[in-house]
Amino acid sequence: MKTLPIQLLLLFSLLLVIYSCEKEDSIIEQENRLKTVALEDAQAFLSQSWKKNSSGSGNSFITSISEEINYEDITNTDEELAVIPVTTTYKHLQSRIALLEIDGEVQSVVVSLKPFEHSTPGNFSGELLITDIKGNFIKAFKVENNILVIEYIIKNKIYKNYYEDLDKNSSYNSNAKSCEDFAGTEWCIDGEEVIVTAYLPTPYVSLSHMYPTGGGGEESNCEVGCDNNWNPSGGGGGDANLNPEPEPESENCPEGFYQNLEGECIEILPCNTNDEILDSAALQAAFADIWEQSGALNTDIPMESRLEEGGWIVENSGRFGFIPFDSSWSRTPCGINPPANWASTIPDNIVGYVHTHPFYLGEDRRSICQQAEAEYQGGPSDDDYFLLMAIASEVGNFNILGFVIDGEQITSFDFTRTENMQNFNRCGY
Amino acid sequence: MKGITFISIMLISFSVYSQTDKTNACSPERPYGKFKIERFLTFHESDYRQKSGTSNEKTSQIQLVSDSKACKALRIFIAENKTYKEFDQKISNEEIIYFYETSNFFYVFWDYKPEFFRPRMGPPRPFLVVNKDFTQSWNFRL
Repeated sequence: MKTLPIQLLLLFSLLLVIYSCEKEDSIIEQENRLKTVALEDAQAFLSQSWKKNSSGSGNSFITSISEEINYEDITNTDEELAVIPVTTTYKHLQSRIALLEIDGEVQSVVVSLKPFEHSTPGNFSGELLITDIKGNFIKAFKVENNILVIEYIIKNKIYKNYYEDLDKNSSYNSNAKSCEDFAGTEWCIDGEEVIVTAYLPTPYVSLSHMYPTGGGGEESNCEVGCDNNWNPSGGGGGDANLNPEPEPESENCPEGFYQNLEGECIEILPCNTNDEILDSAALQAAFADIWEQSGALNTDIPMESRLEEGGWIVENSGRFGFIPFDSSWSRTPCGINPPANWASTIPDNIVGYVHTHPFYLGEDRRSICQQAEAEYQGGPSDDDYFLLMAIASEVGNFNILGFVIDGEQITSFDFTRTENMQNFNRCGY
Repeated sequence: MKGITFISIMLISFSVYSQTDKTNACSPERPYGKFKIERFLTFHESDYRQKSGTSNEKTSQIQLVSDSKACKALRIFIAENKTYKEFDQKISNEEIIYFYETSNFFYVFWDYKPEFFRPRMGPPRPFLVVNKDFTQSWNFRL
């Protein structure tokens, strides 16, 4: 009878050894399925993709590929992810191709991030979109303070491209009546489900999300946290600034103020505008685009190389969209001159118009703008206002709004000229 | 010889007359010109009206300046002011100066000629308010 405990102990030990071996085999098996894409293979893959793209036989989703290839860690394996900064048709997103060899085949996805205004280095908050290299949707998440908090259920495309399709006036999917688009893309959020990944200290994304056809799996016999993950905001070089530094506040100004070119302390306006037009993700993306096209991303850019840009703001079934002014309209750093038939280009569903002033408060633009003031003051001019009134007269709707984007703020105005004029923080776009 | 002299005198006279006429010329009506003044007197920054003393001007009295003496006086006033003269010189061939008035003030601004006028986006431009005795003027940007 005395040997029974010893026998039981031996049996338990044997079971433990067998279990451990099985688990190790499983991890080894898993690891064997994943392999780092060799540098030359990655280069060949990218070259091939780019050739297809350039020849038109591929897709136009990726618009440029960096020559830089970085290798970044994957949890629970020695294999690494080959990561290449790219730009896509979603210019406002920070995108990278992630390459991994799975079962002997190079798999690719594009991981795109849109940091929120409050995102900081080391503490990412924003939206994360995973697509294939043709732009087809795979996964979408919301990240708050490094934690994936929401996985979006996205089924419909709202419209293919707010530039092209809105122009064709055939833009909206009938299923998109009440849905919000994701991260300024054409993807329509159908629903969302709360997910919990709080055990991970940074915004790790499981490879099973990135490569659903065989990427790193969650082992059924594995403890929580031992699947293969990648931290898309974890650096590893590249061009993407995933956590933009907030504008430094001037030491000469009190908290909540910044110093403009004239040394004046300007109040930093709240980011949440509560303006339904300005809070529309699609329009924020459009505004970011026209500001980028204006070529005034900073004060070092010569004023003569900047251009005013703009377009129509439209609404369809409660959703806002943007149509740029026709490219034939004459643009200068100081204005936009529509042609004589300008009124015929007003879309039926117009709710406003927006244009940029590619200047920063206090800049002296007298050398390039006729009769301009010594210091740029911001806000709409009489010409801007009278265009609004002319539009309102044409469409018989005096609720049309005007928006002016400059280097520091967005100003909205209506038919009352200055009475209802409001200035908004640009909130990063 | 008499014929040549006569033609020369006629040409010189015509040239002088044309020059005088241009100097004294009043501006044509600008599309939405009265509307521009009306907006200044109603919706625009009340500060501007307070500064210039135009708060009590009646919009019903807005009209194009048509008295050639007044137009001549306005042109001389602008030519004698360094800043305003510069404004007047920095316009394109497609633009002209416009004169409007109410009971106590003239309103002066530069814009496209009627034949080139159409709604457009552009920078704020000078808008002068001049009192009728030409003792005071205010330079705003609208």
